[in-house]
Amino acid sequence: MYQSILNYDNAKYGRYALYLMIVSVILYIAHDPVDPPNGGTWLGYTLGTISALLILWLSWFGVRKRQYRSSTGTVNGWLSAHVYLGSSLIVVGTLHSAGQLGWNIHSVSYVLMLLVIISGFLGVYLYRQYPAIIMRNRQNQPRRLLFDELAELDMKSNRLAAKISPEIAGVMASAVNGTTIGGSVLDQVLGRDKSEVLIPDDSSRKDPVKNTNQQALIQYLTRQLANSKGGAVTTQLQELVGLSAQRKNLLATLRNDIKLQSKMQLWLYFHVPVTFALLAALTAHIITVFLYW
Amino acid sequence: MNALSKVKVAIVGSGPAGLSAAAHAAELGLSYVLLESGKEFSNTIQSYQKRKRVMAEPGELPLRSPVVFEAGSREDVLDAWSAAIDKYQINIWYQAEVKGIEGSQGNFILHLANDRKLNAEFVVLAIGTAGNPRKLGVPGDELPYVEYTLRDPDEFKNESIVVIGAGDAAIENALALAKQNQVFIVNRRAEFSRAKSGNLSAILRAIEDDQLTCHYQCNTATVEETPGSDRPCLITLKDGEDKEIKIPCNRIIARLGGVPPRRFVESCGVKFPNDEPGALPELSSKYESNVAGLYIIGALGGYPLIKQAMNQGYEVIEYILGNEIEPADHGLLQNRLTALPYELSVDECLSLLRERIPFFSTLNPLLFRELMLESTVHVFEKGDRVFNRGDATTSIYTILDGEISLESGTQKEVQHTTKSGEIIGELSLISGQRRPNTAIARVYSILIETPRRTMVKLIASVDSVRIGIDRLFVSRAIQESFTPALSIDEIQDVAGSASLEQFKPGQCVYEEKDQGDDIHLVRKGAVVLSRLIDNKERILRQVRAGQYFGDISLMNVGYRVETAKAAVATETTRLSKDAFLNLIKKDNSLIKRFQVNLSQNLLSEADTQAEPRKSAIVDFLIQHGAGEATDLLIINETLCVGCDNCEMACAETHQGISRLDRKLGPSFSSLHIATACRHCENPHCMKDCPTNAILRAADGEVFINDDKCIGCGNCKNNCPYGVIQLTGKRNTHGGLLSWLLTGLGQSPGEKKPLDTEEGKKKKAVKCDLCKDDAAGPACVRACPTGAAKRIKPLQFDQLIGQHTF
Repeated sequence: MYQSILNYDNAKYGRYALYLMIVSVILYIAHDPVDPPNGGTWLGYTLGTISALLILWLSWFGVRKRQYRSSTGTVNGWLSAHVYLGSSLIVVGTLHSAGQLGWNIHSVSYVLMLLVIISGFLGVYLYRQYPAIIMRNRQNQPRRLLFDELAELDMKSNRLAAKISPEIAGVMASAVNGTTIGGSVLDQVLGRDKSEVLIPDDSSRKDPVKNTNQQALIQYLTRQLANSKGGAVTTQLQELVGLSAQRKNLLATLRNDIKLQSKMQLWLYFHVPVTFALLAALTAHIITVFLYW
Repeated sequence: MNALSKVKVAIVGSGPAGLSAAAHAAELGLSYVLLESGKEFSNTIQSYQKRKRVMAEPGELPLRSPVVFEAGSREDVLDAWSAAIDKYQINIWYQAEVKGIEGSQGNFILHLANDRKLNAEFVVLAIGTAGNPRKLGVPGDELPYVEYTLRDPDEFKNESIVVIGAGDAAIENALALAKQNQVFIVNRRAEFSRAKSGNLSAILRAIEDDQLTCHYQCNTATVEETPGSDRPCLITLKDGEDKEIKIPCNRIIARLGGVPPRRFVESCGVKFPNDEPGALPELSSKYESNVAGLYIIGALGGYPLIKQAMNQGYEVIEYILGNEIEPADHGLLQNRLTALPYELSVDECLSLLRERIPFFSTLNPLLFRELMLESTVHVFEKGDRVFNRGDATTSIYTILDGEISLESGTQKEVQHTTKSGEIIGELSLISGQRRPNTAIARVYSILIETPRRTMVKLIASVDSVRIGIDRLFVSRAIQESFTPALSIDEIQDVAGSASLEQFKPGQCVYEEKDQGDDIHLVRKGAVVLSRLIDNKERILRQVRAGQYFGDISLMNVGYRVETAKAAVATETTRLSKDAFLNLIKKDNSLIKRFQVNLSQNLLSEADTQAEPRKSAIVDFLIQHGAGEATDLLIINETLCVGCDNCEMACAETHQGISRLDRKLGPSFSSLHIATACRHCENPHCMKDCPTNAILRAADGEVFINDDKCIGCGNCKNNCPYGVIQLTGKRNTHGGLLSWLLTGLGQSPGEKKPLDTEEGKKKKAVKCDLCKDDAAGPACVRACPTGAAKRIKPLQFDQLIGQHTF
C-alpha cells in the first residue's frame, strides 16, 4: 500500500537505471577508438550528452516537486526515478570521462557531480532511517502539542513556585525564561542546550549559571527540599521537583526532535547549492569543449 | 394602556419576517402592532458579532418587501431596517413578550408581559427558532444591569462582571471579558459538563490561572441595585450549603440558553406532526396554521433564510386581506417545471404530481412546494441509466411516468421493476453510502430528483414520509442483502416484522454472552464487534451500512459470542430468527450466500483476534472517524520526512489555503491521521447549512459551494474532526520559476488573507478531495516519499494486513 522511494512501482526506475548502466558498460568495453577512450569519441559524446541531459532533468526535480497541478506522474515516482537515474550517472559520467582527470573545468564538473550524487545517497539513507527514529522519539505526539505541554508545565511550575517563596519563584522564573530550545543551525544539529538559570547564593552573585538539562535548577530545588522543615512547603517543593523533572524530559524530547529533524534535512543544504555549482560548471565544460573543438 | 387595545393584525416578533409584515401592513394603512419581547428589533441579528457579514441568499429569489435588504455587514442591514422603521413609522411595542394567545380568528386575545392584553383579528407568529433567552427568574432580574447577550466584549473595561451559565456561550463570553475586566462565572453544577472540549480546557485553565473566578454549585438568589457605590449592582449567590456569596458588580450577563418556542406555539393551539426536535408546524400554502387566523412565517415555519422570511412577511399580509397573490418563488417553480412535457400551468402541474404520486399527496401544500423548488425534473429515454451501482449520489427519485428497472448489485441478472408513483434511491439516502444497485429506464420515463437535504428535512418533519421511506428501505435492504431474486411483494411480510433500531455512538447493540439470535442489518453508521480475550477487549472488525452482524448466533448458539457497539450514530434493521428462516423458505439459495459471507468474516476475525496489535489499529481507526469516513488521509510516519509538500500542494491548488493540517491529528503505531476531511457517509457538516452550500459530488467528495456559503460557521461547529476553517480570500502569487530563480513573488504554500473586503469576508473551506482534478488529491500526488495516502474503508483490511510493527 505504501511505497518508499526505493521500492516505488517495484523499483521500476532502479531497473531502468541498471539497464542504462549495463548498456553503457558494454558499449564502452566493445568500443575500440583510435585514440585511448575519451570524451571526444562518438561514444564519449553520446555518454556525455546522456549525462548532461540527465543532470538537467534531475535538477528539474526541484521545479516538478513544486508544480502542484502537474499530473505527469506523482512526485513519489519522480523522486524514485531521480534517485535511481541519478545514481546511474556515476557509471555513465565516469565512462564519459574515461578516467581522464586533471586540474581543469571538466574535472571540476565531474567532481561536483559525484559530490551531488554522494550527498543524495546520504539523503536517501536519512529519509529512510530518520522518520522512524523521529517518530519513536516523539511517541506519536505532534511537536505542536509537545510545545503546548511545555507551556503548560512552565505555567504550573511558576505558579507553584510563587506559592512557596519569592526566592524560589525568582529562580523558577529565571529557569523558565533562561530555557533555550533550538538556536543556530549548529545548535540545532548538535542538540545543544544553552539554558541558564540565576541562582542566588551567599556571595550574592548576579550571573546566571549553566542549566544544561535543567540540572542546576533541579539540584537547587532538591537542596531546598532537603533543608525544608516539613509541612506544606515540603510538599510543594516535592511537587515542584517533580514538575521540573517532567520539564527536563519534555525539553530533552523536543531538543532531540529538533536535532533529528535538522540532521535529516541538513544534506539538502549541500545537495542543492552544489547542484547549482554543477550546472554552472557543466555549462562551462560544454562551452569550452565546443570552443576548443 | 390598561384599556384593551384592538388591532386587525398582531405581528409577534420583529425579525426580518415580522418587520417586513409590519412594514407592508403600515404601507397599506392596516391597523396592526408589532410585538417585540426585547429592547431592540431583530434580536438575533442584533446579537451578531460586530461587522459580521449578512448574506442575501438565495440569490435568484426576488425580494418582495417594502423593507430594503441586501447582503452587507450587520450594521448596514440593521441601519437599513432602522430606516424602514422610521419611514413607515412602524408601530413596535418593545418588551412586550407574548405569554399566551387565546381565542380565534376575529377575536384573538394576546396576553403580554406586565399583564397587558391585546385584541387582534389575526395573529402572525414570526418569532424564529432561537427562542427568548431564559431569564434568571430571581428578584431583580429586570434591572438594567442584567443582560442576556454580549455583542462586543471589548466594549467593557475595568468592570466587575458576573457571567451566569456553564454552556459554550457563557464560557466564551467570560473568557473574552476576562481580558479587560474582573470576571466571575457562576456554574450551577460542579463541572462544565455541557461545554465543547476546546472551551472546557480554556475555561479550566483560566480558572486555574486566576484570570477569572468560578463559583461552582451556586444559584443566583437576588440582584439588587446599590446606588452610590463603585459597583452599581450587587448579586447574591447561594452555594450548595445555602451559604450566601455577595458580589458587587457593574453588570451581570446571563447566558442560560433559549427557551425553545415550541411549547409556546403549541400552547396557542398549533399542532406539530411529531416530537422530533426539527419538526415544523403544519401550515397551509398561505402560511396559516391549524388555528384559523393564526399564521406562522419565517424560521419557525421552516424558512430560515432572511429573504424568504421577508417575502413571507409581505405575502402573509396579502393573504390576510384575502388577496390571491402568487408566492415570490412562483417564477422559480415555473423554471423547475419547464422540463415536464405537459402544457399545463404551474398549479396544474403541481396538482397532477400530487395526484399521480402517493408520497407527494401526503405532504402539506407548503412543504410540497418547497420540495418541488429544490427538486429537478429528468426525462429518460429507454435504456438510459438513472444511476449506476457505485455512484456516490444520495438523492431520491420519484417516478412520475414510465418504468425503471433496478439491477441488484449482488446478482446482476436479477432485475426488479418500479413503476409510476414509486420511489427509488432510498438505500443511499439513508445509509449515505454509494448506490448498491443500478437503475435503468425500461421505457421513456419522467423522474423527479429530490436532494438528500430536502428529504432529510421532510423525514424529520413529516411522519408519513418517514414511515413510507422506512418501510420501503427495510424491504429493499432485505432484498439487496439477502434475497435479490425475490420481489418486494414476496418479502413484504418479512419486512413488516423487522424493526428499526437506533444507537448512539458507543452504545451497545448487545454484549457478549447475552441471549439473542436476531440478525442486525446496518442501515446507517457502523458497528464494532469485539470479544473479551484474557480479560481484554479485542476488536474483531467493523460492520458498515449494507452489511449485517449477529449471524453467528443465529446459526446455532443462541447467545452472543461477541459484543456489538455502535462506532458512530447508527441505525440497524433487526430481523428475528423466525423471519430469517421464513426468508430461507422463500429463497433457498440464501443459505449458500449466508455461509460464504460468514466464513469470510470469521477468517478476518481470526486474523485480528490472533494479533492484538492489529486489533488495536482497528480500534484506533474507528476512534478517529473510520466508522463513518469514506476517505481518510493516513500518513505513514516511517516514510514522512515532514517536508509539508502535501500542505503546500493543497494551498497551491486551493486559493492559497491548505485544507489539511499534517502535523495535527492522532497517531498510533506509525499511522498518523492528518487533520483533513473524512468525507463522512452522513456528513455532520451538512446538517445545519442554511443555504445548502455543502454538497456531495458524484464521486463521493463532500465539498462547499463557495458562492452559496454565507460563513455562518455551523458546519465548522458541527464537524467532530475540526477540519473546516472560516477564512477570507487569499493572495495568489506569480510564477514558480521566477520565485525559484530570483526569489521574487511568494513562496509556495499558505498565503495571507487579502487586506480587502474580500479578504475579510469569511467563508467555510474544507478539503474537496481535488474533485475537479482527474489525477486525484494534490496532497497525495505531491508527497515525495510516498507517505501520504488517501484510504477508503474497503482498503482498511489491506492497510491493517500490511502494517508492520
